Parts: sequence; structure tokens; C-alpha cells
Amino acid sequence: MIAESSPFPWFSTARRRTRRLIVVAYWIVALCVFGIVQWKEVLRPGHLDGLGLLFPLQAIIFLPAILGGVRAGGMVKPFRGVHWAPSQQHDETQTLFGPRRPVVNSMTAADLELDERDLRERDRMHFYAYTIARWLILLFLALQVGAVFLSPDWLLRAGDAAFFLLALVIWSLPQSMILWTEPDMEQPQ
Amino acid sequence: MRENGQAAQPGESGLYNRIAVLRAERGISRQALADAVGVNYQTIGFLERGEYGPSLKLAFQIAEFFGLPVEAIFSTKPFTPLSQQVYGANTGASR
Repeated sequence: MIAESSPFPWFSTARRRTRRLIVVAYWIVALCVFGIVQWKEVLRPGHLDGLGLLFPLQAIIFLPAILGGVRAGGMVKPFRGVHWAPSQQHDETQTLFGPRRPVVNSMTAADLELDERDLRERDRMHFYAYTIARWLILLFLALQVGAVFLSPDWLLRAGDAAFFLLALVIWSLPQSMILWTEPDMEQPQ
Repeated sequence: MRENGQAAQPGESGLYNRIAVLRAERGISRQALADAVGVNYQTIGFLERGEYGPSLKLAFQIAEFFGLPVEAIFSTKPFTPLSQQVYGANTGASR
């Protein structure tokens, strides 16, 4: 379930301890950035749509590049099979944005497809993550209902916070749990 | 703990297996076995330690690879050590 090619060229992610540290750092950074955005909203409300900026940053850059699971790259193998084989050489196919290049040159075939154990772990961790997400959805709904009837400012902001946390959990928790629980990787003997 | 190269505890899967001893006996690497049955080499490690119970398809693929019946490789009960099977019941007790 863990990609053999580490997204961090300067250290290996084969050890669980390393992966756990990265997961902790990922969540701390995500929650701190969210806290800063919320704090700015309190100081200068309506000046900048912080959450509107944070969502795409989180979804497009941080999650796939660090945790993985979304597409090739990151510490977890892509949850869905990647049906193209990245070339070791530069791909000369032209696109609107210039010549296309392979995403990860060092990616092995084993990193692009999940075997039966990988699929089981993926499904199991999604089940646990969505069990947690279900409770966050209920919290979000309760805050929205409270905001409709009471409409104080802090309740509206709490609704935004719950929505962000929900998105963060849905996007990142399955990968985080996989990285947390998978044991140290072995060498092929 | 391992006895004669086989998992002494069934692990999470509830299955005992002889994959490690068969691999060692034939000098096959985890990677070679994994490539032959179409899984990641890490999965072979999980199988050997009894931390993962294979699907029926994978169990049969492994059995076909080694040219043995499935029950010779996987069991719900601990395997008798091979030395005991070959040299008789008193082999282990005489030490």
C-alpha cells in the first residue's frame, strides 16, 4: 500500500516512524493554516476568502504530493489503478501547455497498481475514515441548523470550520490511517 | 516465533502456511514469487507472517507455483515440522 518510490528524495519513507512523523506534520500544518485563515477572517471579515484559497491548495498540491492516494506520487499508492506507464525518457507529446513529461520517472510498476491486500487495506481504511466523517457531518448539520435559528457570527464561523474539517477528513484521513498503520517496508529478498 | 520456517502463530489471518520454508527450500526470492503470482513482494511477507489471509485465487496460484496441493501450503491447524514428518515422531523429543 506504501509506494516504493518516496516522494521525498532526501529520505526514505519505508519506516513507519518516519511516515507517522510526516502525517503528524501534515495535520499540524493543515490545521495551523486553517487557524490562521480563520483568525484573519475574524480580524478582517470578508476581505479575503481564505477557505476558498485553502481548499484548492489542500486538494491539488498538499494531499497528492505528500500523502498520495489521489494519483501517482505521494507516499500512498494511487487508490485507483493508473493505466499509463510513465516513461523513463521525456515524453514528447505536445499539449496546450507544452511537451508533456512523466509525473514520476522513478515510479515502478508495483506503485501503479494495487494487489488484493492493498485493495482490502484501502477499503478498510476508507470505512474507518468515513465512520469518523459521518459524525463530523452530523456536527456540521447541527451547526448549520443552529446558525439558521440563532445566527450569531461565531456559529456561522464554526459551521465553516466544521465544513473545512470535514473536507480535510474526507480527503486525507484514509491515507493518513494507511501511513500510520502499515508496518515498516521490507526489502525484496 | 517460527518453527522450521513456518509461522508458529496463525496471526491475524487465522491461517498457518509453509510459504517461507518452501521459498527457502527452492531458493526463490519474495520478489520472484510475487511476480509469478501477480502481487507486491510486501504482500508475500504479510502472507508468510500470517498477517494476511489470501483469497482463494491467490492461494491456488501459490499452490500451482510450488506444484503442491493447497492443503500442503495453507492450513487452519499448525503444521507438523517437516523434520518430524521425514524422520519420525521422536525427532524433536530426542534433543
